[in-house]
Amino acid sequence: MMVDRILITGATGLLGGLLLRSLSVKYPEADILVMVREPKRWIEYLSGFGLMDRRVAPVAGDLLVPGVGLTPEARAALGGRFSSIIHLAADTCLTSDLEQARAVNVEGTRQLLEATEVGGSPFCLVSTALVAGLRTGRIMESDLPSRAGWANAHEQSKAEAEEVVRSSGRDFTIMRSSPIVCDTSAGRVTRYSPLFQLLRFIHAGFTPVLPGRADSPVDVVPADFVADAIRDLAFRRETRGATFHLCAGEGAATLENIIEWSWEVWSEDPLWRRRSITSPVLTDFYTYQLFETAALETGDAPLVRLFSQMGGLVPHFAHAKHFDTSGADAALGYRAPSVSSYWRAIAAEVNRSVGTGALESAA
Amino acid sequence: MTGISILGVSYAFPSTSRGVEELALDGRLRSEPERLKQAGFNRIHIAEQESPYELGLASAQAVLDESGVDPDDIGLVLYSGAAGETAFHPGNVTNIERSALRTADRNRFPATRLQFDLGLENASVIGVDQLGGTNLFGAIRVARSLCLTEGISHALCVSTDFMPTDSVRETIFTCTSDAACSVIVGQDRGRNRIVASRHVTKGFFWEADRLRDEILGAYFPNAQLIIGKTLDDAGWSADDVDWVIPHNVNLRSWELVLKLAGMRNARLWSRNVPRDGHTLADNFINLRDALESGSVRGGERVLLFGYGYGAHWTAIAMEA
Repeated sequence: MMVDRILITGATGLLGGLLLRSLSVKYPEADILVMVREPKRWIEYLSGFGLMDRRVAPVAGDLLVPGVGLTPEARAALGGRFSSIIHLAADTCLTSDLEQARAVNVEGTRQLLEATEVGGSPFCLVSTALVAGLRTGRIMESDLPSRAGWANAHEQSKAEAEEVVRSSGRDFTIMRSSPIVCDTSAGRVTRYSPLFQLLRFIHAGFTPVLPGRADSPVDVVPADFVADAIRDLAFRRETRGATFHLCAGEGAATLENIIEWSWEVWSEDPLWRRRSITSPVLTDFYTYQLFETAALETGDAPLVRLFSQMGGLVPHFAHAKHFDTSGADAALGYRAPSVSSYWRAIAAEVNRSVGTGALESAA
Repeated sequence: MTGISILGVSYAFPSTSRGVEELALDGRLRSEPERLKQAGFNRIHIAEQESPYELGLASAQAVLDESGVDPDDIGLVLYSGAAGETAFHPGNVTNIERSALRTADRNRFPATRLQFDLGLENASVIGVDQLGGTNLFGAIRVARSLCLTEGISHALCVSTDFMPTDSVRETIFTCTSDAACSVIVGQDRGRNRIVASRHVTKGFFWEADRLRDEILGAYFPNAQLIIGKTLDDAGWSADDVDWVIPHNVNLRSWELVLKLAGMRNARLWSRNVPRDGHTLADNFINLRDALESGSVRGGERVLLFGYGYGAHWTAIAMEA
């Protein structure tokens, strides 16, 4: 398929930036329109990202405003057909309440669909594999979102956004990513994901208990894999109407793996080793909640804040699920790198970041 | 029998006690009284008239009287608690501490005075300190070891735990009493035999106030670890434990410790938490009351677990 015109939302995020770069390389002749709230700041951002490219142009739009707040000029810019609209923008904060999360993720998606309805362009929603919520077992790409409840409002709102897209009548592709834990397949980290933060708390000895079993899967992915997968799926006719898992799948780690690998790396630091931090005890969810309650009741303000942030993430360890990736594997012809291939680099980054006092600033 | 047993426990609380509401009104709590009540606390004992030494002496005299051990048979006194002049004064010991350090008053020793006042002429004296809430555990550990290696038939362990009278009485949702407690350890008489004991120290946590959150994080896995090792040494499984004799900290934390340690059948003897609060010797105060009340019966398997700032985790497995 000819790719000549692309609209992206959420381009200022980690994934958006990588996607933009990946698209620029693969489709050097395509015009890329990025919807941002403040186009003036976009130029600054673009130069910082090393993407001073005249074919990447900003258009002012705000998902929180009816009609996406388009000016007549912006509306004109959005006219016509795009090879694909890639909707990345989302409220990904795990502590957002449902109202906040819905405003961006559900209503924002609806507004974007309506604002781009004229061209009838194919619509790619980048969702999360955790729309499976608190389900357990094998999760197929064709499965509709959870009816078993969610660990946080983000997941629920993304599940609802999927419904909005499915029922819109537009050509669509849904790509559900596992939680992004690092920038690249080499384990480089420039932005701290919730899981990275959790690792920092474990490293600091704040997380003595985790819910789950030794073999509970930890399915995470690097952002560059997700960016490339979006690039390779967004413009293909045969992917229309399909949902893909951009997940580690068979390459996922286990809770025991990530603790063991992290301890191997951290133990190489004599200063950390001398702290005698005990690896987290894996326990049932109820017992974990007892600890969480104790920490929230008795901890200082920073600890309370940290545990509040983790509340939206850790329930997944206790609700073990394996993400089937057969559809994505077949369509892409490649898989996400196995977590074992880069986890130690992430653990090393955790040790470095805490060593520089970043934990205090995070708290 | 060749084992070492706990032959007697006695304790003394000061005559004054205060409810958590009173303490709150005096500004001596950090949390709302209602939250502390939810954590299990109601009243604590505060020494306004008595000195640490007086209560220590009273508890030691009582345990000698009750156990029927001849003072001449006590070969060792292990003392932990207020040192120097501070041991002999009620009231604001913080001020006394400063002056005592500047004067020869610091050379007044409550441990040896105990030996003298109790007429323990055959006992040598050792001070045990720096173990926070595990001071008495540490004293018993040393006593047990010396009984086994030096043939000492009986050792008297005395703990006096006092806070400055006007101090804040709450630490991490736990209310603390003043108290003294004495334990006689000696050659086995068929009851209360110490089957195993373990102690682990993690020096990283030496600054208890600054590392409060880190200590909270370390408390539970190390509790699980030390309990597991103690049970292994005793040859018991977690399911074998009939009773857990706690230190009187926040009861919610105990629920978690029992779950983590997998002690599904164990009952927590928590009667004293609301009426006495936490002291550095509370495991042994509770042991005495649990035995005396008939809750813990002969032959039952008992686990005592304690934590002390510094930081120390310790446990004793005992056959009642």
